[in-house]
Amino acid sequence: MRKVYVVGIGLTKIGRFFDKGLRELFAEAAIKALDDIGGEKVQALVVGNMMSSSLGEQNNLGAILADYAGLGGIPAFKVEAACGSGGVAVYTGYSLVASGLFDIVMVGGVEKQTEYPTRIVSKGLAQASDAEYELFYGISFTGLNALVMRKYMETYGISRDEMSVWPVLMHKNASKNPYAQLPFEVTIEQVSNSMLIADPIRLLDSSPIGDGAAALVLASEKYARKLSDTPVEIAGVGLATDHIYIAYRDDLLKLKATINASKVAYRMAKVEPSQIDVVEEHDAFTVLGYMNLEDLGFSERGKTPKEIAEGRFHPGDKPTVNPSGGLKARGHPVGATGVYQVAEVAMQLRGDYPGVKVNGEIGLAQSIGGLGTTVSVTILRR
Amino acid sequence: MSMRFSIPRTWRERRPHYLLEASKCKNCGKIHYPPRIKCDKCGSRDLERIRLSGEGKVVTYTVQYVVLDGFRDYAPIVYAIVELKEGIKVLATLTDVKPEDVKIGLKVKAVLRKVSEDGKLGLIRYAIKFKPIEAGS
Repeated sequence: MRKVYVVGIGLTKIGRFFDKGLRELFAEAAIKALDDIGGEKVQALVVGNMMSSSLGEQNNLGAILADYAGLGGIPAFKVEAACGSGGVAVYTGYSLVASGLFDIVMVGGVEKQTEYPTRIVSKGLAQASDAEYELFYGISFTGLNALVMRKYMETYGISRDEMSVWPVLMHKNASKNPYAQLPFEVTIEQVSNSMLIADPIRLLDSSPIGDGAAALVLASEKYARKLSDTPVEIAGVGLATDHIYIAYRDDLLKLKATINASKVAYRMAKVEPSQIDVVEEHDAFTVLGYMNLEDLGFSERGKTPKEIAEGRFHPGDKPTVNPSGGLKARGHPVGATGVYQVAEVAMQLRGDYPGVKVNGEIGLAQSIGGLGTTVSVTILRR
Repeated sequence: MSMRFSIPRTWRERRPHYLLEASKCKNCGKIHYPPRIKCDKCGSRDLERIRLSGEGKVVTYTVQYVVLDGFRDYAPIVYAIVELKEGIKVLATLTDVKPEDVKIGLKVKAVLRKVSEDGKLGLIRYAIKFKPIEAGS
């Protein structure tokens, strides 16, 4: 397999953009990424998106976006893994270059979630769960995660205020991020007293609903130096799946797909968790923010809340976790998030991240579809 | 008149939903709910259908206040993962119980209840829900 590099990046701010649809958002990010590679042409496009079909009545998304962004009739298609579509898009784009099929590929991610009220968007998001045996009962994706949050707090004896440490850190980091949807600080008290959505998940435990688009250009070694002065290597990739029906799993407090995907990525990159300098992980809800670090091998089960309260994983620590503000505060335009994460880690390693900066050589991005149903892990190296 | 629920699909899935029908591997004994055609533990395709007891206890639960489109009339809704005495877990709505009376370890049994309806003229979806076992019953 050939080496693959991130050579171009373009992101939009995340928020509510009533004046921009899927095409406009994607074109904005894509054009920025093409500017980043000096206007060179890309040979193929892979797009991550979750709800163009369920909310936007639009399929054939790859072709539409390639056309609208002026990429021509190049090979283009969408990949979907619910809220983990972005990570799977990166994985797919990587494979297209590593295999030798293409030399220069654009990986995009885009999502529109602000066209309808929450009760309808939530129904779209709930399609990340088992349609016939979970969504069927009307449980929302938040409700599903609440089952895990309660079990986590009960099993490890974590209090409400101790759980609230995570959103406080995320918001603090996001307050420096010009792309973030929620760039303002919050307090433990505000988090713990915010509105109940699905007990025990409160409003400030949950990533917000927003729109956004991100684009990366990946290139083979032959083109990497021509297209960028600071190419960042994708050193390892891993992807794994698990039973979608969470009641069927043996252990609700670990995501096997994260464990399995990260093992493959670590082995391929020939690194261990202790060598990772920066992490962008998939904290769709507070409880996942903690569990992901345990599954990725950075902390012991149930101990993460206390460690973060003591300062671990904050800016300055190794690894620094979610300097962007994570899904909680940077935002979570679901199908695009996985592409944002890889872009953010790449910017950290090449030295031009505009928010909380991390000085480092090796970074990791983790993207989850559903409640740990599909997980991708990407490791990047300067 | 729009149709939000599929009639063929509702008919097709009636046994797991109404009877808590699972599959059981004749080779290794693993029980699967929802039912399968191939055992995910040993790979055997020699499976039989069984009806689960419906008796179990609450492993974890949530009270959902912000509900999905179409469920406004039922809010707040209590959902639980119930571990049945066969050792297998299922996710379902809890019924005939106040949210404040739900706790981990609560003993429950399966009952057949309405889950949702497709407007006043459309299909009604039914399935197993769980209610507390009264003391002394």
